[in-house]
Amino acid sequence: MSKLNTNSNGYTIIFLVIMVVIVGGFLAGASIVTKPIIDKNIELDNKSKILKSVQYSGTEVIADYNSKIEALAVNAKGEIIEGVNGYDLIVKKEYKKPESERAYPVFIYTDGGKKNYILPLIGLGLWDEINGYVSFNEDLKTIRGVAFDHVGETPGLGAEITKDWFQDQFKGKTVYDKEGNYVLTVYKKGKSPEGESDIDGISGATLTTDGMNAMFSNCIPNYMNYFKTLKTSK
Amino acid sequence: MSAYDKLITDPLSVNNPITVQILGVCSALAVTSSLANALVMGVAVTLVTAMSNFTISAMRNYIPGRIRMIVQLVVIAFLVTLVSIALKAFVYDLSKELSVYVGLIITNCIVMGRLEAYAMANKPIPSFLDGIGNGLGYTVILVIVGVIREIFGSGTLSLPFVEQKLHLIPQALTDIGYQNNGIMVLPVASIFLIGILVWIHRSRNSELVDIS
Repeated sequence: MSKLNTNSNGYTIIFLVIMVVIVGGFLAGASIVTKPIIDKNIELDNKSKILKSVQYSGTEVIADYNSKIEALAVNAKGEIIEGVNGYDLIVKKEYKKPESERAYPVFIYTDGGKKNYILPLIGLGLWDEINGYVSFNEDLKTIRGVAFDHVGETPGLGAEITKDWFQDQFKGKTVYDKEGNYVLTVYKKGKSPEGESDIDGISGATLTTDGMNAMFSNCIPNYMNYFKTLKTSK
Repeated sequence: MSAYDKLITDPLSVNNPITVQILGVCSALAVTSSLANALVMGVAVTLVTAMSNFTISAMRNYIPGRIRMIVQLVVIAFLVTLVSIALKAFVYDLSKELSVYVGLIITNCIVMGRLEAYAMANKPIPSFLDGIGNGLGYTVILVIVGVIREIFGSGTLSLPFVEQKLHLIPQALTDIGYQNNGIMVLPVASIFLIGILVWIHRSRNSELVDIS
């Protein structure tokens, strides 16, 4: 043992190779073993966010999702794409395609004969992706509720978008003004004019707030044609 | 036993990782905007420092000197990734809450600082205790800064995994014109606070004053 020369080139290389194989093998194994559990957690999380955006609070998330939510996809012209389940679409990938090829997911929640339309949102915060769901009342311009999430925003600042105090502000706000222009705005904290389309932002999280505005104004107008066809078909 | 006790108590004061060793300041600036964040980060760093100290110390006689830093980093990253996978699989909500902290732990200077300064030259059990001690010393400073920043920046106190916050500023005070101090919310505030802490700490401990 005492004769082991830990400074020779051969030893160094063998040590590194063994270490990397052990560490890599262990992590790969751990990742494979836990993948089904993690996928299930992510599915549960996504579906509970969709339900949360309509302020539904049950415990049987998957069962309730299956019975209450209908997922479909629409194109930029507002036509429903047949045979596509909106939940299976990856929103991030769709937004990278040219506009004419995109499929936008829509989730319809039926509650006592009334329909709520839930749209997925995706955008950029300060450090990484922010995303969420926004649900509309039957008039198609008043928000019923929202559920946001993020990948790496700063805890206590940008990450506050996942907290109820922030999300509750969106309830009942209108996205379009009387002329049909997109108007919803998140302001700097304390600067909000308290109108029916204004939301108080988070102090110290200016870039996340800006990202929030960009996310809404990028995503929601894509559904304008779909909402128009819904209105005319009524 | 007294030597072991010192391993835990020293870093709390005379050898504090932040105010004396000046390590781990970067994360102390970033995550101290509330008490809840400070506590979570403190616990996470304590665990990782103790575990990696133990692992590195156990293999210290086999690590080739020239690549010891690489080996240390691999061990830290391995432990942190393993914990992150386990959190995602078994406590998904907690893993979302911790998201950025996990990355911050890998880059935390205290972890590597203790590996270099202590674990490479000492036996596993003392190294483990040294990790716990330094993690606690880090947590103490984080909690002090976190409490001050949260009270003056947001007027609240929060605990991890408790949605309800404790509001400390009465409405009457707000009505007569009290405002939260905006700078306390930003990381800038913590550099002033940590600076003041270092100052107070040194002026009260004559052994820390460098006379040369």
